[in-house]
Amino acid sequence: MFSTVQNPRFFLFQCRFQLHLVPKPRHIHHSRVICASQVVSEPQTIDLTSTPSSEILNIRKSLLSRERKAIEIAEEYLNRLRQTEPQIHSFLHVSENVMREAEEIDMKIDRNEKLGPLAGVLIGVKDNICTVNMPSTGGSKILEGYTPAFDATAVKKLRDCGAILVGKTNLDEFGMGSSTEGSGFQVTANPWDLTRVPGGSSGGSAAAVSARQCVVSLGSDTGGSVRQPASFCGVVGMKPTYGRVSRFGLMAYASSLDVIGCFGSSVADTAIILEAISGHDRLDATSSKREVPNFASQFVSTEFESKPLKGLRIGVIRETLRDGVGAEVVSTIQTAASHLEELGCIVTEVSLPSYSLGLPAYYILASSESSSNLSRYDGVRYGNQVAAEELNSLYVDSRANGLGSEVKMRILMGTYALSAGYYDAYYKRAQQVRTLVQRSFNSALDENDILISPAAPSAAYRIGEKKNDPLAMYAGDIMTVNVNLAGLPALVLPCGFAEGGPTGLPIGLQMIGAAFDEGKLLRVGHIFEQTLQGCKFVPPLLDESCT
Amino acid sequence: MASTCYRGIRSTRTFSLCPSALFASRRNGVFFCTMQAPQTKTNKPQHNNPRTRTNEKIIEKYEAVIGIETHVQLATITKAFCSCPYLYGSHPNSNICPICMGLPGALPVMNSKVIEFAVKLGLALNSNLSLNSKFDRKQYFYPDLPKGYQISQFDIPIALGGFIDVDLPLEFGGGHRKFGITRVHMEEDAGKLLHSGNGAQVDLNRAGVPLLEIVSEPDMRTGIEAAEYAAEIQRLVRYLGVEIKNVNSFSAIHKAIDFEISRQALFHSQSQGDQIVQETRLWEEGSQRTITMRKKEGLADYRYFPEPDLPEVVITTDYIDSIRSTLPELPEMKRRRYEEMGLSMQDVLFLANDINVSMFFDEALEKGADVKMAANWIMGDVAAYLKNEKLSINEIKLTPQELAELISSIKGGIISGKIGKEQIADPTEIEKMIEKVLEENPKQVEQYRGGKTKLQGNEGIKRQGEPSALEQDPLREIKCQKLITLKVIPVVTLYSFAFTLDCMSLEGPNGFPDVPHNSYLSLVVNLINMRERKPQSSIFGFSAYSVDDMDGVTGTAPRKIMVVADPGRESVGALEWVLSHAVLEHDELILLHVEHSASWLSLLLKRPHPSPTLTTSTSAAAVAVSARHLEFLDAMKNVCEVAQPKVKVRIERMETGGKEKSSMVMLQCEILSIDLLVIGQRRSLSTAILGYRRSGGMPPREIDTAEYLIEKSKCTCVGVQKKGQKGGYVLNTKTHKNFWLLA
Repeated sequence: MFSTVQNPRFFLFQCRFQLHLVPKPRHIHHSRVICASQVVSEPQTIDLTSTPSSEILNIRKSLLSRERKAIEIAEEYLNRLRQTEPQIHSFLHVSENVMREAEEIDMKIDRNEKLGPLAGVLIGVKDNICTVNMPSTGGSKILEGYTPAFDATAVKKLRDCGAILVGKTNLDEFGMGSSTEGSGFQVTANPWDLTRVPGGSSGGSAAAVSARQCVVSLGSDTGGSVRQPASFCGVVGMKPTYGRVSRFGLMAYASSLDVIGCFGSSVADTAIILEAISGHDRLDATSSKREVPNFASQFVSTEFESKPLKGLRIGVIRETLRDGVGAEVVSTIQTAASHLEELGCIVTEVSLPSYSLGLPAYYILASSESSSNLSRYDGVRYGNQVAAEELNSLYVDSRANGLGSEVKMRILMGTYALSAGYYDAYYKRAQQVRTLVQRSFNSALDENDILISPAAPSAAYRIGEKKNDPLAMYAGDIMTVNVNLAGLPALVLPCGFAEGGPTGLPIGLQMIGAAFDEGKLLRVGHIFEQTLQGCKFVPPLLDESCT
Repeated sequence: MASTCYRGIRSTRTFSLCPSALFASRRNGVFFCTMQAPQTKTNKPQHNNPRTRTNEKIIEKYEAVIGIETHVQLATITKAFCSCPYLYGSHPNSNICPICMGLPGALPVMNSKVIEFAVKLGLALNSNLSLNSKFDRKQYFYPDLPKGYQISQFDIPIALGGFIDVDLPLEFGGGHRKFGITRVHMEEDAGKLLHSGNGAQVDLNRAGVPLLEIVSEPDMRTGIEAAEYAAEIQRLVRYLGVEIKNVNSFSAIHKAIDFEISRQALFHSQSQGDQIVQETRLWEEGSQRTITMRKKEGLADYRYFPEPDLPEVVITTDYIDSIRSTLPELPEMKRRRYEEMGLSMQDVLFLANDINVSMFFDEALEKGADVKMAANWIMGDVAAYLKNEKLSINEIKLTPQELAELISSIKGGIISGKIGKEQIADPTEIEKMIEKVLEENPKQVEQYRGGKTKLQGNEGIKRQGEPSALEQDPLREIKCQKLITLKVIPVVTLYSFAFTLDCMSLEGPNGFPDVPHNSYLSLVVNLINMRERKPQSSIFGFSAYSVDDMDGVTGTAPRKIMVVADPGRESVGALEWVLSHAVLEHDELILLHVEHSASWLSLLLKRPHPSPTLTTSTSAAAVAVSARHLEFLDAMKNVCEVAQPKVKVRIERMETGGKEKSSMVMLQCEILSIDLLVIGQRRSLSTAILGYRRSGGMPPREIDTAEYLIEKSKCTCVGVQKKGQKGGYVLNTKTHKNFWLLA
């Protein structure tokens, strides 16, 4: 019913305007019976019974042992993608070259050639990250049909490692949003409950990994856009330290906050991808020259001593477990904290007094920078241009037509905040708050190895629930924006469930580390994940077909 | 033509000057405008400059306060934030990449050379360098601005404060000025719009090219100060090797600002100060006035904020010191050093103003050239040649080493200045030749030594171009042998002067030079004659007028010498030469002034008959016409009477009546039976002497009046160029080109 060779734009149109023609109304998608009927009956290879294992390492092992062929693996993922995509809508474009690239890997194996560390791994890429042979729209109508002339550095690194790009994932326009409802093209559904949002802005990337449409995916995190959807979709999401991963090729939203992050179904996969995309890039002056440690090496073992994290100091951020945070979320995080304690950690409560200031400061800074970064989408050189008689109407009409309402609102807010006479009151003050946030994080991290908090105040909410209430939507970012202001790394991994959906809704635990201390976060995350009992984070969409 | 145009366009961008003139009126408050560097030319000159004499009085009541913003395009290999080269004149959009196109996802990366240049300039401007500066985004929408913002520096520029020293040219009263510098900051250039029939198209080749913006304190008060400030900034960046070569008209800045001062002062004097608004005005070279280019609706809000894509610019004092140690001698230091060498301010300014000239000069000195002579050579013949051929000093064949050798040869008396101009390739070769000539012609040498005025074999030579001239030439053989290789046949006499057969074109049809139409020997004779008659004259003394016209100078027969008199320096120089070198007792001296009948003066007087008419200075009519206009003629006459009391001097005035000035002069020569016509000249050395390296043909030069007269006049005509205060003269006749006469 849905082919990968289909014109992506046609596909979009189908999704947006032919929705009513789909025989089964969307609101009953969460019904187990219907889901089961739509999902593949082919044999699945996803191990759903044990703790998450590294899918990347599995693929590599089976390719090297010639147990499976790359085309078989690719075929399996593509089949699943074809079957789940009509409900989830996580992709804006699906590559036509997946099978060909997989064949090339098989030929390499046949010739006994050296394989890249990510050979045969299907990767989804958020559509605000430039890819040379696929359209990159940033989820915006103004860039509809725009195909970049270059690969983002992160994408190039992945390709160099042998990864197969499966397609471009949906997002809130230019990353501005927290539900992926702000996409200029389509709304993505949460694989755990098709009536709910996958989070945002990297909702497509999170949903795609959650629904196993691809092995891993790239997202971007400006104010929580990797971590919050990871939490909503029950996958692992990594937001690296600002500067760890080159931003070259990432369509800028707020340059001083943006980072490229990654999603995986296990901490190990996330770590492998992070390692692949990290490192200094001479095309990004803000990328760090720090050496990239071997993140992946620490995940081979899944056997742990009784107290593997003995002596590790964990600080639970007090301000994140207060009013306005869902009770289930609070209790799940507290359970996770106890779990960490069981692993040998010393868990204490820490206070970050400036925490509540972060949100308004973030929205001022991000809007200000976005008002500048989005100036280039003027219809003059690329993207959609509206025919106009004179220059001003060319600008006005192209931008009015091409940009969505949330984007326009943020451009207006940012323009206002930077205007003469308001700069000091808004932008400058927000920068001062940013410094305070950084200081309070630094002092908390002096006393603790890792800080923990929820990744979002609630589990996934319903599609449309907050669409017309931007403030409520913004408030949902309270858990994550401070980390961006401080530029710190944070890992989100599923740690429990809240009521809702067919099988409950996943809740994510956010672990915040010191700058460039991703290694520690990943190690702790891995141990946490491998020792977490009674939870398996596979959405019902797949679960049903497999059990 | 193409190349001129090319430079013209380039200049407006590479070194665009936006002097904003702020006028602090003593009564009416402050007003201001921005000026754009000259860009357009209109062919219709209109005389509407408000700087008339009544206006001068008005202007005196106001003080113009002028500040200047200068953009220097840096000579980096690649652009400021990407690896695109900047090659001027490339096809549109051929030097671009995702970064300078502002494609989604592209990020700028700083070219460290830009910082190095900024630090250099900051040091040269005596500024305080910011150890921590940053970039900001200046935001506005325009199709040539690909990112929708310009990366610039706002509140923390790389350099703050500072000053430059300027020596005003002597012709504008001279004097030393110190102008304050407010700041220097780094920024990128935008692209440009190409307007065509189909609308506008964007060329982004220039987008991202690094610029340094230098903002001055409002320390300038006049047009010349502003122009000299700008010229000094340009000099500085050229000395530092920071800036891409360009051509700019500083005289246009001067004129534009003076015009603007008058314009604004006039408004104020008429209580119409509100007519002056903040705007960008354009200088129209053709009509010599400024016009509105665009009016700003108040101050644009550029919403500056720190550029998040670029880290702070952090420089260390070690880095600054290392750059300081590489700084060359700067113009101000150079001027002071030249001054200490004993050069006049005029010489100092000339030599130090152009880095290439000063380098040439310094190198010549290094090779042992005499300071004053080297200066004279460079400022005289070399400069005139460069100007004439539109070349720069490093495009000519002459090297500083050769100049130094030339000067020491001249100084040592081995050769004359005249030979120097023939671009001697190998002085030892010439010495050998001289010796050979002397050896082979012992008789002639002996005769010279004996003081004989006429040499054997020369008596019959009266007319140039006679076949006999060559046949009777005792040195013909040598000449023919050497002509091919050297074109220079020196004859040395005991008087230590020599001269050559010149104006020979090497490219004769048979590879053999066209033999000139005169004999060097006749010249020798005449020189000695002159010496006998006027022993006080210089040992290099030479009366060119007599060369072609031996008949006219025999004995002491009185001659009629006519000098073309104009108010310019050229005429004065010509007259000086006549008085010191040419005129003899009993000669009659006529100062001829030819007026353009179409000049403003004539129009003013509404002369009914524009046909050539002659008046004399004593004519009452002429006095009535314009006493002031004749002042210079009277002054010249007075000088003649003082210098040569026995010479009869009179003034002749005539009008062109729409005809060529030169034909009027020739007509007058015939009417008055003039023996020698002397005219001041501007042009100097011919291409044959210094040569040029530039490929491609040179555009045909316009032949000026002097050249025309020299070639066509029936009587002998001498073109005189005066070389500096003590630099001597360069003489040109029909047959003798560029004869150098040292003072």
